[in-house]
Amino acid sequence: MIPAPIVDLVSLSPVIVLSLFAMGVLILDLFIGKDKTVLVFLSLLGLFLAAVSSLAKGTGPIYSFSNSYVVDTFSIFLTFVFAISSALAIMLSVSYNKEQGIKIGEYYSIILFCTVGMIVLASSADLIMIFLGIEIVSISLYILAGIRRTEKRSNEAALKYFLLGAFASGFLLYGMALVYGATGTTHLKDIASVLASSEFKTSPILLMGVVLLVVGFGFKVASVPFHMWAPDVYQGSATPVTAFMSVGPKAAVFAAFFRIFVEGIPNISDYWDTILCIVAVITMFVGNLGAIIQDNMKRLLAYSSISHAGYILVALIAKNSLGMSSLLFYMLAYAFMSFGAFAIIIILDKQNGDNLEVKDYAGLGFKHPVIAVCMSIFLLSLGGLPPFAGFVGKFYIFSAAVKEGYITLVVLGVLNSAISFYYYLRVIVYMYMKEPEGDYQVQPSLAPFSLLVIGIAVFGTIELGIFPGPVISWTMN
Amino acid sequence: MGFLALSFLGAVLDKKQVGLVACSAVGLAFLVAFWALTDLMNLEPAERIGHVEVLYPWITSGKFHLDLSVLIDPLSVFMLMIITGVGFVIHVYSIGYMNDDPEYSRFMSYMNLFIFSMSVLVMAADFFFLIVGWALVGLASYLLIGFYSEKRSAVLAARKAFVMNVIGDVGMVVAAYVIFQNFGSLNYVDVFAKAPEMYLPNSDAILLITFLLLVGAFAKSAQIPLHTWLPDAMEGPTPVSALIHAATMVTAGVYLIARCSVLYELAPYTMYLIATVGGITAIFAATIGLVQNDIKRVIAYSTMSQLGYMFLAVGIGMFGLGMFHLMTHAFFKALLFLSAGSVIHGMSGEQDIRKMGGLMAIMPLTFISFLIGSLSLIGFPLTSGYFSKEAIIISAWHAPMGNIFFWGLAVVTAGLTGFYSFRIFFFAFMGKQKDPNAHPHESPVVMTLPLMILAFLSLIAGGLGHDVLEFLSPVFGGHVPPHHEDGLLEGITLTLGAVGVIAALGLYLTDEERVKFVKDMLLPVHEILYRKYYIDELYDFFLVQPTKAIGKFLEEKAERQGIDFVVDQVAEKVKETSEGLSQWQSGKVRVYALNMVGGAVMILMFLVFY
Amino acid sequence: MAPLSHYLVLSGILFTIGVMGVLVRRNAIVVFMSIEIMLNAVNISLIAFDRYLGQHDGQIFSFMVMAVAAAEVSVGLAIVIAMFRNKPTINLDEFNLMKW
Repeated sequence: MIPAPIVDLVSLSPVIVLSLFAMGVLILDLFIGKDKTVLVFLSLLGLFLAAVSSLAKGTGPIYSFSNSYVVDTFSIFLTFVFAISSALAIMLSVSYNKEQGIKIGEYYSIILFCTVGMIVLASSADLIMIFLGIEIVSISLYILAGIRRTEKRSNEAALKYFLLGAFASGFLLYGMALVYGATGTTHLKDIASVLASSEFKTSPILLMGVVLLVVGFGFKVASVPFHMWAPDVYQGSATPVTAFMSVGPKAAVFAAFFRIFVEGIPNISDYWDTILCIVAVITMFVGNLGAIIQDNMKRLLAYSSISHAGYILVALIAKNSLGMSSLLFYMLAYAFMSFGAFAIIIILDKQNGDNLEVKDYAGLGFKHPVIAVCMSIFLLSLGGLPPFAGFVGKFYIFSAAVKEGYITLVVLGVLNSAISFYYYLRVIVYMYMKEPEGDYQVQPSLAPFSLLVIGIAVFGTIELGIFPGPVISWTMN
Repeated sequence: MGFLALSFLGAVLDKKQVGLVACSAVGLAFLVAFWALTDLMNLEPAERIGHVEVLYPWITSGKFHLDLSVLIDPLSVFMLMIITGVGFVIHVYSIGYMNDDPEYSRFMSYMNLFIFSMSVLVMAADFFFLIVGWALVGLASYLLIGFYSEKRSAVLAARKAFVMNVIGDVGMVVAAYVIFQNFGSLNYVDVFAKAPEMYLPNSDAILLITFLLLVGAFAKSAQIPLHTWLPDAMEGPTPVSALIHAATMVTAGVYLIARCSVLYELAPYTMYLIATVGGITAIFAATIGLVQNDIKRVIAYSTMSQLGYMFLAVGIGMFGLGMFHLMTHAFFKALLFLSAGSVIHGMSGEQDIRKMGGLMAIMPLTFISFLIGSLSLIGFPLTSGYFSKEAIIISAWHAPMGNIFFWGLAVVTAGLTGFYSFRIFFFAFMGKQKDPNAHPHESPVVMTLPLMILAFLSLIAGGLGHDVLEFLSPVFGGHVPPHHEDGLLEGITLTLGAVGVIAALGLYLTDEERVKFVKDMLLPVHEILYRKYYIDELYDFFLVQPTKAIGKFLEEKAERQGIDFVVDQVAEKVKETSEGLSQWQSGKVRVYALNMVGGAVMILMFLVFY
Repeated sequence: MAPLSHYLVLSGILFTIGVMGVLVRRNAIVVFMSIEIMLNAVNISLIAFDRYLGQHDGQIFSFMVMAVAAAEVSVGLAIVIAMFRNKPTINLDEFNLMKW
């Protein structure tokens, strides 16, 4: 007989809280009018409570549900990152949705459900749970990508994302099935202990499974050569959704990626090490080279996000505890920088969406100096300039890799950082040194929530750059 | 006290547009420094050192550990008091001086940045933040010197200062690297604790470190041979920024040596070098000062000369005396500069002393303060300069490391000081007005009030001598420098000083014919001095011209035909690659899926055949 | 009982058919169905492993896969319908507004 698993609802409390709030938002939406502001506050409250309740179990690794769910520093920290990024996304959406005429209350509910999926993903210690988490996140994102139902680009983004995402899920699932078949278990801990004995290591089924896992995860984090959906989907989605999907879901998938590869199958790292190194390097190059010729800001940031996936892969390849903590730190830092940059795109965006070209930013530095300075901070941080968060993040990632002797990888990574300045600085040059063509028309819409997001992002980017100590010591735990 | 320091930093960082805010920020900083001082005074002397307040652990990477922390000990608090105190007075003064300037707020923010950088520099608890502060100070001074960016001489002077400072920075960075290699830490406390145990006096490592640090100190404190930027810095911009350099920034070098006194005591050779360079700079600068006609330049050279005294003092191991002279110098030099600024302001921008005259009656307050400043500078009995300078000169003979050579340099310089400082004094204030077109007027009260405060300090600060030495003694190994009594030596110094003053008076009183005669007789000497020993020309001939030639050659051959070409080509290729890559991004779902499958197959092939 | 390898080969063939379907068909619905074939191929191998190893994890896994697939179908069809409203075609090659 199957023994009944021990039910530990306290471990699950963030998930439960957030699910309840998501359903509450969904139901409340039926009873209120067209003004959805109350849903915003309810969602924010839910995210806050979820983050707080994640602390309920302390920091030690606590396994529950027959070893398929784990609460540890890794998952708690990421729960906070998810809560922050989802909250920022929701706040960004408020004015954007009003201007774009998105009057859908489910929007907030779906963001919350997506966050549930992310938390599950970060806390799972079992292939089945990871699959479930990824699908919860992905399905929510398919909907979010297509949330502007009447907009052709949004439709197209949703369709592309959906078909390719499901396609990738197939690969991922097949990979999981083969790993399960080769090791006889779905628990990551058991997989690790089975692989500790050498007899299974060369099983072709296992190798095939690892390859398919790389494909599946590679797609979900938008690494090359599985990245091609990203620019199109990022461009077509509503901008707050783009910001959202470039941060939270990606961090969650990286968390699962990390759990499987570093906690589950580190013993066969001979096989996946080189593959991931190559993937990381070409991801960085393709992301940065692709960004150089982009004129659309959202596409530019999409390529930039691809290259950042490459940097984060370096942290994963390092496989040490410093790699883990640098990965966590980078997620948080990236959340701030990325949301900041997207927030500025949003407040400059007009209803018909024609302020998205780089040349539309010409002269911004003189007309709206504060906005331009904030944008410069985010872009320079994304490029990895001290004293901003991006620099510290990259510094930690690269030093983790150096510690394990991946010198070539780090050199290529630093080289890529240098390339990336080309297109980040290009935007800054436009803002400060170019005259706008014709009359200056960009009129920022300064909604209080958007300004709050920019404020938080600026604060986070600088704070993490100058005083990274406390966060670092938390992630080191 | 960590909180205290943080609130202080925050206050200075706050670069508000209005002068009032800027002033109150610095004023607040001063109060906080004062609070820290009283806190320290309440402790036992032995407990006063080594209070490192860790604000944040900053970066930890393997062996390399860096905290963002501040060091609170008598030396840093003492420096803070001077920097924020004098800085505050200067801020108030510049409200009046810069009143008409359209870029008033930019100036104020630079000033605040400067004070902030200096505070970082002196409060740093390790070499890393010392260098950060060091570089920030360099940046702030570059911005201040080049403030009138439309004035060519200002821009050139700024560039020169920057280059000289960068030479120093390089020395500092290399020094920090060597320190980390040898001690495994950049923390003052660790390094200074380990140094005496690990190394014998004059061992190679210590000599190397102290010498490299010295390069930084020389550059920042305008000692030979890295001195040329300081007088030039006076040329272009406002007297206010000139002053902020003279009274605060240049003392950074002295501070550095005092801070590292533990290391320097292990390196007597370097100490001799410091004392020698200090003494030579003192006399060298004083002789140049004799013949300059620009009022600010004269004071600039006198600054160099006084810095020479300070280096001499620390070079013979009298760290406390060096710091004491630093303090009194900050007061009276600030006083002199501000009075000179007041004169220039009153004369509507005229800086040539030959065109001044008869200002005594018109600008009585300025006159009195300038007089007090000059007296203090030459060490007139009972002014502050008297106590500190006299002590240094006597120590130059009597201290264990002193000798007659150092004393000779110091005492001759004292005579020269008397001459040049009273030369400008007589020219500017006595006699009658020389330029009929000028309409001098007394400066507004925001400018004269700081003058009076500083004049008061210049008069009485000398009395604090013993307290200062005692207060600082825990940092320098716990002993107060002995006070040498030697009436004879003191007499000689005073006499020479008086001779200088009388000579200046004589020069001023004799009619122009005779002055011209003397000038002609001493023409070669005059020419050399006026040209500042041709140092600039030497630099120009030996360094600048060859560098330019090489640069030109490189520009034509390597740059245009080599690097530019390659860079252009690379950029072109990168763009082409980028465009080529993007062709594949056709927007079609099936192509994307094909790409994924292709990637999967490639990975599989790799695994199978690898 | 047929050996494990038979099931695995069957699952592999089905999966490949699914992949090829995605690559060569232009109709969005057919592509979608090909993806479902891929998922079911995985289900076959999961059940086969499960049976072969004498465990239950694989069966649970395949139930999860079915549930997820059902959710995906609903979202996917909704997206296709929304798309069809704006542009009356389901030919995937005509959806390339965003490229490069």
